[in-house]
Amino acid sequence: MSHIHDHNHPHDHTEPPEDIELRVKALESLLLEKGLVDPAALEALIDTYEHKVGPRNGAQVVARAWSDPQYRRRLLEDGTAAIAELGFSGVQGEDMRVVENSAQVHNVTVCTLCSCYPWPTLGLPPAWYKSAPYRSRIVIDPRGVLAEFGLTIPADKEVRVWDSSAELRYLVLPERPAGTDGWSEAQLAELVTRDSMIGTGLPKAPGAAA
Amino acid sequence: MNTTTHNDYQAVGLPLDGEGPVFEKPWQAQAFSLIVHLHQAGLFPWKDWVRVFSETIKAAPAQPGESANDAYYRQWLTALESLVATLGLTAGDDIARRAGEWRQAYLNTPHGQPVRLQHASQPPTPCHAHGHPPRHEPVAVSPRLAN
Repeated sequence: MSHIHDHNHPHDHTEPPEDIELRVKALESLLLEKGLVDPAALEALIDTYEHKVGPRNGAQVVARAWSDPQYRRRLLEDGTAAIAELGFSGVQGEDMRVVENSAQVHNVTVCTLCSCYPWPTLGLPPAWYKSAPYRSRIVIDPRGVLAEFGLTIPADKEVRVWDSSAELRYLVLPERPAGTDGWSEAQLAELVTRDSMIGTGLPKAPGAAA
Repeated sequence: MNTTTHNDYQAVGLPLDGEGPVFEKPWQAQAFSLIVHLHQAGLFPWKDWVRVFSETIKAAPAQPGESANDAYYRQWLTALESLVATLGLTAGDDIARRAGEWRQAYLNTPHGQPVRLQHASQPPTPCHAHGHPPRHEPVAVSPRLAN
């Protein structure tokens, strides 16, 4: 296969974001270079706030799937289209596939090569998602890594690890927590955490959400 | 947060919920974090920010079709650029030039790879688009262990 790239190929570049986002990045990188910003402290702040951007979109998708069996079926058959129904699309046109947890199967997602991540639904990836140890170890020892997240998968459950790439990104549909009969979508969405949609955590228990 | 409180945020009309600020897009959280960080680093008192920000809102009101959050954080970023210029931290020309370099870095970065500023002058070698095709089956399975 030739490694000379066809420049009309849509995957050979990354579509730049809107101007205002470029200005934020410009300012941040200039202040970093001048030593006016402590990268670790800034990253901690951004992590706190960015966590509040995206996961809410994913949480709406999960809450809808828990509430509406027809939506759930569409979501599992064609994640890209079902997520777009709620107004969320990959900015780079990537496809989404949703994998469903059940009593028999627990799913977890990774990008083994870099940090491909469904950010329109989940916000920006946490630092550990981008780290080399997570990317390699989750494939070699999924149960051990999940246990380090405080998530012990019962021995009678299969664990499947899904590798997100530039073109195809995975989202986990967690199991609906017991004790939530009759809850509204908005109430259910409050239980859905970022990690539960990556597969390194579970949704919050109903009692813990109040 | 130690040096800024919810009262401070109310002084600048920040969109809030029970847990703190709310954002619609990642760049809004980044712009917000930058000003809070610079303030916490002791570069200016919060009341100076309140003043510059309220002047900017008056000078650049919300535009038709702009969401409340978009307008708010557009004004926030304009005020931030103005404050850092006043403090002599970085000039507006530098910001515009650097924003152009970031645009070039995006254009030079193959789809799916992390975008880095140095890609503006030095495109990376493709990894994902050519070496990491979409995988439709699990990359690993740990079967059930019982029985």
